[in-house]
Parts: sequence; structure tokens; C-alpha cells
Amino acid sequence: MNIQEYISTGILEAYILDDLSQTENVEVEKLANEYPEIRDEIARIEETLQIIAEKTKESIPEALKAQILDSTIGPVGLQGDVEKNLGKTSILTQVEPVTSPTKWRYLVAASISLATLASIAAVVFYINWKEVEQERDDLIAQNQRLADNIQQVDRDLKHLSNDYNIINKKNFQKIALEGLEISPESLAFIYWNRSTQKVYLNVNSLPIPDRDLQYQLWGIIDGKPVDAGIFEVNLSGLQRMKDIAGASAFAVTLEPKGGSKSPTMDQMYIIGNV
Amino acid sequence: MSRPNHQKYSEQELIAQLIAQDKLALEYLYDHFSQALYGIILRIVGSENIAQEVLQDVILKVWNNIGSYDSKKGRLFTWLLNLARNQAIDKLRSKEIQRQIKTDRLGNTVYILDQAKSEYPIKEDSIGIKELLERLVPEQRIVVELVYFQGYTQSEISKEFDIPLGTVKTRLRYALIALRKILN
Repeated sequence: MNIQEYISTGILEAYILDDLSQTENVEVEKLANEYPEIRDEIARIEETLQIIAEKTKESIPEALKAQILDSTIGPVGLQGDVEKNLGKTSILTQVEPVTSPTKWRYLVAASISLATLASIAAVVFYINWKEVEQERDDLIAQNQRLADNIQQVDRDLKHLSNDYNIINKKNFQKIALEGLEISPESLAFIYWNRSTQKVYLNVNSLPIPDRDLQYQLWGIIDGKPVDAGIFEVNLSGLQRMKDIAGASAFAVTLEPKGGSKSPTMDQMYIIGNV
Repeated sequence: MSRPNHQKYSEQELIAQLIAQDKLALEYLYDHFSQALYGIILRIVGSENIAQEVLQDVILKVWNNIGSYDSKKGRLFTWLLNLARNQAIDKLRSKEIQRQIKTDRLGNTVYILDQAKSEYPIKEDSIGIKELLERLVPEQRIVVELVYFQGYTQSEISKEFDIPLGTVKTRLRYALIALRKILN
């Protein structure tokens, strides 16, 4: 495999930013094991990210440090307190005067044991509670992410079914516009309704143009090109173009942003006869 | 970067001490990395108060989950960076701040970053974010802003801005290469 090409896809950056699927992660790790170039590149990207983060750091209020560190190691601190208390209780039981009635000694010992058990239980519960709280937060966030994904899928599906409803009608004719010499791989489809004159465009593949250029669709009517609107390549799905009547062909040219009055013939990318 | 005088841990030692739940190691980690992480978080959540909450969550996660860090997969900072980024994103979503808000912000990102900056004076050796990003070409800049400073995943950018995923990936890559050159 061509390692440089693989690296230049940007997959390693996505890997480092934890932005890949599990399968892709495994693939990257396997290749990193095999190829030192990939390992080196990963190290370089990590270093860059760290440098950027350090150069764009933000200062934190001084007081926050103690607050954060204390609350982070809090449970440990509590445990420490319990140990201290345990120490005290054993001293207490020893110091308890022998002169006390035996009954009292048992009662005191029992209550101290109870208190000790209770504080240990409290610590255990506190730690468990913290963990559960964390898990709960994680689940809520996960849930939110899933909900977002479903929304996205839902939108995509609506989009698709709209498109499908538009073209799945009797009068629509599908015309393939195929790539010319300038870009043989390019492909788009026109859905044209002769009677209502509606024109929809579905771009399958066209090179992304420079920022100051835009694609323009033309209907060829009686041998003359008629403007059918400019469009962006990025849009997925169908795009409604200008209505066209009686076309014998459709073609797309690359024009200065905003479109032209007549097509630049040597910049014709795709064409298709009706 | 201000280097505290007790600079005594190598990365491996630091990790080992954190696993051993050594408080001093945690303090060292805080002293060395919290400002960089805080910068990342603040730029994603856009609010000082929320960013501080998130930083606290991140430090707690480091303390509790350091055992799950795998040094074979990358350096410690990358792990921290992703923890911070993910925690900040989760916070944004759990606060039900709609994506719309983020999208609205998009046009003014640099403006907002500037605002954030004026509230937190940056030390002399840090470079202005605006200045840094201005040196990228626009299509790279927008991807870096979204991924690195606002917490979008690359596939989200691809969907929301109708840019093919492959293009997003390569733009981020070339942006990082350009930034590497600028920062070196």
C-alpha cells in the first residue's frame, strides 16, 4: 500500500482526535505497528496538537486549583479521616476505665463499633454514589448523542423521500449528463418534466471549483443554450433549477461566480441529450 | 509556560504515580496541563463557569480513569486533550444547548474567541488564536475552528456544511501541517 497516500488522507488526525469507528481504529493501529512512517507521523501530529494547545492556553483563577484538587481527591481524604477515627476508637476502648460496670463497657464498645461501621458504610456509599453519578452523567450524554444522531438520520430520510416523491412521477424523464474530455469522470442527472417544464438536478460527481467560479446549467433549445441556473456541487440530493421548455439537450459549464449570459464553451464539463 | 520548581516527573513516572493515586502527581499534572486543557474547553463551551465545571470533571476523570490510559496508543497529552474535548462536548449537549446556537456562532467564531480572550489575559508567550488562525487559508481555518476549537466531529462537519468527509479530513491535515510550521 502507498503509505504517503494513506497518511495524506488525514485519517491519522481523525484517529488521534478519537473521531474514527472502532474498525478504523483497529486498522490504524495495525498499520502503525507495521509501518514506522505511520508511527512517526502520529507522533508528529500529537506533538503539533500539544503545541497548539499550549500556545493557546487560557489562565484559570488561582482559587480554582485548590477547589478542584480537594474535590477530586475528596473520597481519599474521607477515608483518611475514618482511619484516624478508627485509631481513636481503639484508644478509647483501651482507656475506658476498668471501674465502669461491665454492662457499660459492652454498651460503649457496641456503640463505638456501630459508629465505626456507620462511617465506613458512609464512605463506601459516598464512593459508590460518586461512581453512579458519573455513570448517570455519561449515560445522559450518550443518550443525547444518540438522539442527535436519530434526528440527523430522520432529516436525511425526509430529504431522500422528498426527492423520491419528486422524481417518481409519470412525466419525469431522466437524462444522464456525462463527462467531457475536460473531466471524463464527471456525472450528473437531470430530471425533467416536459409538460410542467420543471428541471431538477442531481450531481453525482463534479470537481469542486475554485471559489470565484460556479457551475451553470444550460438547456439547449433549438440549438441555442438557455440559462437554467447556477448551482453548488456540495449540495446532496436534488436541486430545483430554472424551468426549461423544449430542450434537446442539457449541459453544464464552469463560469465566473454568478453565472454568464452565454456559456464558456471550452469550460463545458458534462452534457446529455434528451 | 511558567514552570513550577518541582519539575520532577517524566511522563512514565507521572502516570505511574497517578495510578498509585499520589496527590502530588495530580497537582503536578494540574500545574502543567490544566491551562492548555482549559483553553480547549473554554473555546468549546464558551462560558467561564461551565468551562470551570468541565475542567473539574476532567481532572476527576483523570484521577479515576488513569488506569485506562494506554501509552501504546499515544502520549498522555493526547489522552487528556480528548478527555477535555469529549467532556466539553457532552456538557454542551447535556445542557441542551442546541446545535443551532453553535451554527449561529460560526460566523462570529473569531470574534467570540477574541471576547473570550479579553476576559482572560493570556501570558506573553501565548500566541493569539485569531493571529494563529488568520495565517491559514479560509477553508482550512474553518475546519480547525470547528474541530479543534468548537468540538465538532469531522463527520458532523461533513454533514452540516455539505463538505465531503474526505475533504474535511485532508483540510484538517493540511491546516495542522501549516500550524506546525507557524508554531515552530
